[in-house]
Amino acid sequence: MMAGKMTRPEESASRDAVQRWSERIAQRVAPAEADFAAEVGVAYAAGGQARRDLLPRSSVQPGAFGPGAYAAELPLIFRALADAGSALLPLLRGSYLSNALAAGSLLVALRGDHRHAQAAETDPPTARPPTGPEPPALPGSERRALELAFESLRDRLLTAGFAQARAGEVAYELLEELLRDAADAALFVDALAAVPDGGAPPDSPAKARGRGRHLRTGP
Amino acid sequence: MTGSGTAEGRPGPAGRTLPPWLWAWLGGYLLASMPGQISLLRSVITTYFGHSHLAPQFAGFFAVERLAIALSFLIYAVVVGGAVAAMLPRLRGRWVERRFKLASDDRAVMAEMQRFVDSYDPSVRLRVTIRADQMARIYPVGWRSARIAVFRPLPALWRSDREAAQAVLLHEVAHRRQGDQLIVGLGSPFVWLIRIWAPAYVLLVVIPITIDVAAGGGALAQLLVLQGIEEAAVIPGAVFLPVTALWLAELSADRVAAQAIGSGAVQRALRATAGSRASLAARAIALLSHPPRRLRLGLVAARPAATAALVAVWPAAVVAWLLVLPAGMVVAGLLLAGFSLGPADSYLKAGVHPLLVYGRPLAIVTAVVLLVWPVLAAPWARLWSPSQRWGGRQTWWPYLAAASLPVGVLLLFLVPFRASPLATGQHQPQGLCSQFESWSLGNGPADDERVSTKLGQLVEAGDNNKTATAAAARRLDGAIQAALDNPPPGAARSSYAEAMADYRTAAQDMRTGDAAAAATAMEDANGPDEKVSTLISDLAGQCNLSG
Repeated sequence: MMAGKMTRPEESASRDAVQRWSERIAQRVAPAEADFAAEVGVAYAAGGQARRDLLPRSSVQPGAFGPGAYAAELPLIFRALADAGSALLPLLRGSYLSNALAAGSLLVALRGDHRHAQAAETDPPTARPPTGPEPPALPGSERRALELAFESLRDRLLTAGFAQARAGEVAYELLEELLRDAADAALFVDALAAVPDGGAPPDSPAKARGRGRHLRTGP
Repeated sequence: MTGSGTAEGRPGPAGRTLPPWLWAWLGGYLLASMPGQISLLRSVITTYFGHSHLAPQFAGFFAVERLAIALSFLIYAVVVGGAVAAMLPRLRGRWVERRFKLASDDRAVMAEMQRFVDSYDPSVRLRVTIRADQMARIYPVGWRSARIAVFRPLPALWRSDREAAQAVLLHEVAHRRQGDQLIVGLGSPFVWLIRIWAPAYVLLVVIPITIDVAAGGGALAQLLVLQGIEEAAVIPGAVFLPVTALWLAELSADRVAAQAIGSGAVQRALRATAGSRASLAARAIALLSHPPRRLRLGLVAARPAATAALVAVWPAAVVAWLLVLPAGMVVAGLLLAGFSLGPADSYLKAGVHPLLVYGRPLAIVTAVVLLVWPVLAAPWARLWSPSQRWGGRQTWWPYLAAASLPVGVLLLFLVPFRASPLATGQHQPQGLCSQFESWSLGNGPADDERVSTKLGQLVEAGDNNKTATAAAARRLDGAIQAALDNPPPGAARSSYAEAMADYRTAAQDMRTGDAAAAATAMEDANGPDEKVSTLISDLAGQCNLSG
């Protein structure tokens, strides 16, 4: 259902990546929304009215069966991924991640950072127990890119209304999932960021890529 | 599947249901009064839109009146649209599915929900959209077929609290059982009308009147304020009953769902689907189509006897609408605006009597429906869906008790008609009633209307063109003379003559170029004119004529 026309192989590949990754992301961080995750991802990437329809509106009838907080997270997570594209894509496309060992190291480092962050939020600084092995030593630029991506995602989720703890948790899990197949994940993030909020669907893949590049050059 | 004790394929528990008051309102009031309302609107349009040039002192008044008429047009257009939509459910269904991008779907979660709905009403099919602004809504796709639009949040609720999601679906299926889907549900113009009337009234009546009065008001400022108050009283009066019917339809659907799956599940559904995003204004407007969530939560949890109490709500609302609402609205409005009790009394009489005449069919329909509902409930449900599986046996006493209200009101109205000496016209062919009947069925109303039309033409001619003004004044004189030759009978006659005399003075003043004096004379005519309207309405009611 709800499948649009696929006219070019490039669009088809991009669409496949969006559908595949939308389901992966939903199953990881919003399992209750997994049933329609592929369609939500495609509609988000299309932008315009299709994207606006995904979000609850202020005109919802207060006395009626409204949407409540259901099915509200996935579009916001996609928006956070798209908005954090400028921080995510350099990491996902970086040459460091071209071999599996490096990707594994980065995941271990991310997990270590996440445990430290969780412990810092819940325990007093002086009473913090050991939380596992220290993360492996990474090149400075890669660690910095990882930190930037995490902070960028978490901050956008906070802005979208996620609670502090949930925002950190989701940001971590998103990064962990994306880093498992970084090159393919880059296609997904690129597709989400191709049409900015309020923009119309691209007339051609070339235009879409142009808009994506423009976004990535932002601060 | 659930812990509710309602196994699939088994009918829900027995229970009382509310009659379809939305249908009663549609048939008993809207359709019964529509011809009279359209005729009234037509004469008003002739008066206010039949002039291309207006004297400056009347321009504001006419502009404001035209906007008020636009409001009336809007209301009638949507009512007609709603009636057409009800008669063309297939068309509405296609529009809804295109508008909300609804499609069939066979993935697991949808199949599970469809199986659940099948256990209560196998003829209802589900359609899904990835839109996220609602949970689920029924909509018609034929006279006796309906679908439920499932919005993306419902599958998510299904995953996290299945019973709550089932309660939402049962609520929609209950609407189908009540036959509500043709009038309300997704894409209903009726609900839209009821939700837009308040903003439309402010935009098209309150703001223009305020601007006109603030800008000096012109010659007819006081009349404008009176007109605004009358509109303010009429529109809530028109909205009160459909809103009550909408609330009862929702509350009844909640109760039916609670009987089937348990009140706890419905309460969880209501809590889960609440949102905090709506503004205060949006919440206020939403009250026009849905009862407050707290009321729904409370009534869902109430004992089965609460349904018996709910049965009495509609007849009580009809009584309030006929007797309490017009009096309260008009008198309070006039007193607030600084008018004395004299005109308030006059307006009250003018407002109540037409309502009594128009409202009588609704009171009769209400009484009849209540008396036959225990027998009619099952065939009514089967009418909409022969295959649905619901239990339910209706007991007589709540419906009989509730029917006493409209029956009492009807008796109350009938007593004065029979006891009135005016009604003796039935036994005396030359009596007042037969005179009034002759006047109203003859040229009387047309002569009166012609005076209004010629008066409008005189105002249109203004004082810019002396020749045209003189000609219009002559024509008005002729119309006044014809009206005076054929006045209404009884007490209205002297006020009628008084009003005509004032109009004749206005015509003479316009002929001599004194527009201000003409405006004063027209204002002077308002009092006797209103009195004539009141007395004619009284007489129509007493003689059992619609006036």
